[in-house]
Amino acid sequence: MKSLLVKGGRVIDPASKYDAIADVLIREGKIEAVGLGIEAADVEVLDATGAIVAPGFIDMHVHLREPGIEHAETIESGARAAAAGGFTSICCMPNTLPTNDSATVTSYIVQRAREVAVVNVFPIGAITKGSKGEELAAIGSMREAGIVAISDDGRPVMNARVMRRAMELARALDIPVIDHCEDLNLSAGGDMHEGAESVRLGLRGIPSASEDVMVARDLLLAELTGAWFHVAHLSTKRSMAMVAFAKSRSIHVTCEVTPHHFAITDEELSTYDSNYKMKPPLRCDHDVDAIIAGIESGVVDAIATDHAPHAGSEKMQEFERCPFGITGLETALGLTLSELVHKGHISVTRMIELFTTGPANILGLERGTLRPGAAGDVTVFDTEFEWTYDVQQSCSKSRNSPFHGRCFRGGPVATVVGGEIKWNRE
Amino acid sequence: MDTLNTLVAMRPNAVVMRHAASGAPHFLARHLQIPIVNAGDGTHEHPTQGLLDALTILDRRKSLENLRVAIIGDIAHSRVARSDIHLLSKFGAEIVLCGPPSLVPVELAQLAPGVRISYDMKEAIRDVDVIMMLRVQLERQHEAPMAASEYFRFFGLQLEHLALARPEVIVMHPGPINRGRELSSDVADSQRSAILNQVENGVAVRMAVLERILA
Repeated sequence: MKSLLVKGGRVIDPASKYDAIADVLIREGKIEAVGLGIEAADVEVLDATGAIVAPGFIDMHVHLREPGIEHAETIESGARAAAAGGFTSICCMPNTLPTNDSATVTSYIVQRAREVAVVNVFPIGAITKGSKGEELAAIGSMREAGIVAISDDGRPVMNARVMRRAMELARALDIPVIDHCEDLNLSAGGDMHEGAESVRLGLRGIPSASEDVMVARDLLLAELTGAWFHVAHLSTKRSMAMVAFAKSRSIHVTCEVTPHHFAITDEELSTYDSNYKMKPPLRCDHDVDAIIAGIESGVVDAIATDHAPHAGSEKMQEFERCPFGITGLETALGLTLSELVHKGHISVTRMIELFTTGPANILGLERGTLRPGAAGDVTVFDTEFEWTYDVQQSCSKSRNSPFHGRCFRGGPVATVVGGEIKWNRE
Repeated sequence: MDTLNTLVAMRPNAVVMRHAASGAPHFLARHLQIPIVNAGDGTHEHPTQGLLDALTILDRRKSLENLRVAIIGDIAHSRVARSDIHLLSKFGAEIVLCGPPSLVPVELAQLAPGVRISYDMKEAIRDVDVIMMLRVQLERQHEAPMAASEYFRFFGLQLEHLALARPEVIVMHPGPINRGRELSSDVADSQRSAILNQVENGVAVRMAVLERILA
């Protein structure tokens, strides 16, 4: 394995409370030393002068579409998009074809990632067979094969009894249960957030309550079972309040939010552009305010993209016919810097936590820090340079981003995985 | 998208589009250089119906200023209602929306200035100049808003209701009507009904729209 010296950047490692201009030396794929003026012979040097050097970013919510839906994304292309977005580790959701509900599929993903992915890939297993919500998947075997959590993302478990059994098992296996909280009966047929905008546009609504009732149910089940419940892409004011309340009562709960849910609202939908269609839907002003307040106060544990690639032909149709989901790996850091850091909501250090220690702690990954001995994953980014996102240049196989043409202040500069530079802005 | 390319290949001067999906003409307009007439998109808008309704009112009233209008029925799924509301509100109309709660969401009051909501039919039509009845659109309803047997009893327009409105009240309906479901036959056929005038004016208004964009 190669050695790398990242020189001259401002090194911020929230896990070890380190913040200083320093060099980072990586040998044999692991962090060897962090300090000023490190000299090392026969190493590659990455000049990070003027930039911030952070532990490698982790995106705990990504759809890689492989196996089975490779025309939209592959493990290889999704991993390249992750690297281009500054991520060194990603977790892939199980809604592939076939569903990742067995050790066989998990092993395939792990093996394939080892062969073709430029970043670390950690699979998330299904809760139920085929994510049908009926019978538990082979969770124990998948755990042995490498899953870091379970989730029926996109097809939430509607049966509370099944969810209870899953939580009991997950607790014994020491993995979190990630739920895409949506009551499918309440949201059925909906295309966008239910409110004044959906009524004006004549599009069917997805009420906030469809998310809130499931968050409430799962919090109660987490209390009952003692399981670790993680709320995926939390999007409403009331769900945020419930998670804050549950945390104050020491229920084992964490949550993630996506950049699009704190950056934009349902008012964007007036163009009927299908790139604004996702689940949960873009909510309204007071929800965005509550999400940002939750990030500021520490209720939110992680930022995750819910990168959901769809082929162009699927997104180029009438709004109500096209599938839900947008890509997000390449715009996450730019959006977070522009919307949260530069607007004064959080510090750069807090932002790094949300991309590193936050997800690492939830998933039990021994990553997200620059302590000597840790994985040699480093994200180098700059908070100031201005750039414009061109979706046509995306590393992803899909183009369904609402942020095409958007200008950002700050973004990734270089992505280092296991001591190797996997992506560089130049 | 393929439909779009097929249309473009015919080199039309304009496209008149009626579509089951809200926003379909807006989607088309982003990719096409020629004029597109929205002839009704899903549950969003039906602009020429708004225009012909205004013309029909003007046949019987001097102006559209400060009218009191009741729109009754399935507002949530009605593109006609949205276009009428936007148009009449611009002339300062007071608009009452009335129907079963699940078909008249409270957010409709924010659609335009001067709009309010009532779930009581008799209160809604008191002293109004115009009563617009909407067709019960079973094809757009995914679940029953109330027992079918109760709909006409609470939200159907009957002859005795007309006495609550202003003397020269105009009864309108975008058609086709369901006799005995949203309004009784004697109302539909009464002197107050302008339903057939609406149909006639529809031809004139749509000719005018085409002339304006193609001239």
